[in-house]
Amino acid sequence: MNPLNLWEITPGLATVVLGTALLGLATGALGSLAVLRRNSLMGDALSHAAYPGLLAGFLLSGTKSVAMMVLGASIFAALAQWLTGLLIRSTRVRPDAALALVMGCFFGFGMILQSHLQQNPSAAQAGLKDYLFGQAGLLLEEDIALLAALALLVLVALVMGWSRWKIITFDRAHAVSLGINVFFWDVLYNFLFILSVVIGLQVAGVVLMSALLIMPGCAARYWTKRMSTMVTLAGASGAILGVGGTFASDQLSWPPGPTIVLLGFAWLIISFFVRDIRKKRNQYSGNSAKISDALHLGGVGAN
Amino acid sequence: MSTPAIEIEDLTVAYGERPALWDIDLKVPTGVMMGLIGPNGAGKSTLIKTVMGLIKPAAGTVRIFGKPLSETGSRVAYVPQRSSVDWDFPATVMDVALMGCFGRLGWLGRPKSIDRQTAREALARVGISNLATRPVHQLSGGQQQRVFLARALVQKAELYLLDEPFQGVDAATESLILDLLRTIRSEGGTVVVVHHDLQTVADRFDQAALLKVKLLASGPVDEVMTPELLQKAYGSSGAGLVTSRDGHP
Ligand SMILES: Nc1ncnc2c1ncn2[C@@H]1O[C@H](COP(=O)(O)OP(=O)(O)OP(=O)(O)O)[C@@H](O)[C@H]1O
Ligand SMILES: [Mg+2]
Repeated sequence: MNPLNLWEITPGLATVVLGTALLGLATGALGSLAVLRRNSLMGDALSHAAYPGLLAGFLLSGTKSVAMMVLGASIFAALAQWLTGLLIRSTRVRPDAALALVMGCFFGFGMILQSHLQQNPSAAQAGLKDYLFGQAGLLLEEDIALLAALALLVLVALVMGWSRWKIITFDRAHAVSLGINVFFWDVLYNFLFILSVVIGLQVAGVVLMSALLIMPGCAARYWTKRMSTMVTLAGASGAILGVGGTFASDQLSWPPGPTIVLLGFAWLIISFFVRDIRKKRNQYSGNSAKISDALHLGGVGAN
Repeated sequence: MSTPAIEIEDLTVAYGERPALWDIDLKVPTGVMMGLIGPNGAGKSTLIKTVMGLIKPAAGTVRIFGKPLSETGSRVAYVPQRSSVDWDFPATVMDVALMGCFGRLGWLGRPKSIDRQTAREALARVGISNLATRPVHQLSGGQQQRVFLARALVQKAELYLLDEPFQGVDAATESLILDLLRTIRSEGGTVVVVHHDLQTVADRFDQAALLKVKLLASGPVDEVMTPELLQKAYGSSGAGLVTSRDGHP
């Protein structure tokens, strides 16, 4: 029996596979920057904050217009990000607490909007609740264009400004001292981040969006000592997880979003163990390298 | 006289309400090695950061080689305190050294082989050629300090600002850094170092600036390191510190 027949690759499934792959690529690559910048929680905060915006977009347009909902979600996410920054700058609230505060308030507002909308039968039919947990299975061909545009935008931005992303991530003050326009790159980063989150909400949902952003980057960190390799690997594994997770979900009749996330977690565990074993195996050679450094420097600075 | 490397006029910097620097006027001539001294919280790091454009002053102007900060590009190299970055970062020693040339690169630019050559030379000058491919999270404190210095050398700056480069490094690293800074000066560079050890100021620097929110004095070392001025900066213990210089090494 031809193993390929195991999967009936219907056009619908192909669309979902392509969509999740594109989203995985964009969020994996961008999310690895967030991991390095230590603002992994930003994804979670923004997806929760975007939810009321999504509903507001629906409320205003009266239908499930993707454009209006993405617009509404973007506005709310941007507002949340600005508010978080304001809290951090001008109060004694620490960054993690600020994110949690803003996320809670915005999401609470979203829940109130939702209960209000639920009394409206057309909204109930539109399945707005699906945005909480994602509905990758309902991806349509026109969504693919949007996801492809997002992936392309992220890749172009990363490749074009590679030296900038690298230096700002490692040492922001040094970047400023070289006369690099850090403000511009921060705005671009936030813009891409918000865009990924609001476009990804459809697929992964409010709750799982941040896992999609963060997991490929966390896993990739185990495999390399170069930032370029890490970001590339995170993007590639994000795409592969999207494809693998969608196929698996089709086989198991599990929802796609959670399946992708669980698969990603498995990948993270594998990365951890494989690297850990490799590290232990290399420990002897590592030690001898340290000793040779020490001799080379006349015992200087080798700790 | 040539344009001073740094020219600060009426500079006031505040975090919130409280001023960290008050009405500073300071000239650093080109080609000197200046020690910036003062007690904890005197505003030394703040002064360096303001000169680098990392902090916006409340009042006053800073000119570098006669130009405003926005036009200095990569002529000024900043060597921050080691602890100012997260060293758990996926980069090799070579990668970080190469970052020194990023100011010369355009958006799409990548380091060229000549930049790599410069970076290799810089690593050799700070004595860590053998660590070039080592991930930076495996470095010791002294090695981190050397990587920062290499990065500054790759930048080919004319003015070097170092924040406590001697902090927590051993004697060998200390003398290596010192030799390096002297070489930079002999090649026409200007060096400003935040320094804490009053005993060694006279041996290491030709100029000093004594800071305690206000600038108490600046100029040749022997004019600045007087018991009266030190007492003003450090209280009664300060004067003792410098007179004991000859007695206790
Ligand atoms: N980010 C900040 N926010 C608020 N106040 C600050 C900040 N950084 C420094 N200060 C205050 O500004 C003053 C000067 O600090 P600065 O770090 O410049 O001192 P310093 O001379 O470098 O001290 P040290 O010798 O301890 O390094 C201090 O009183 C400090 O409390
Ligand atoms: Mg300081």
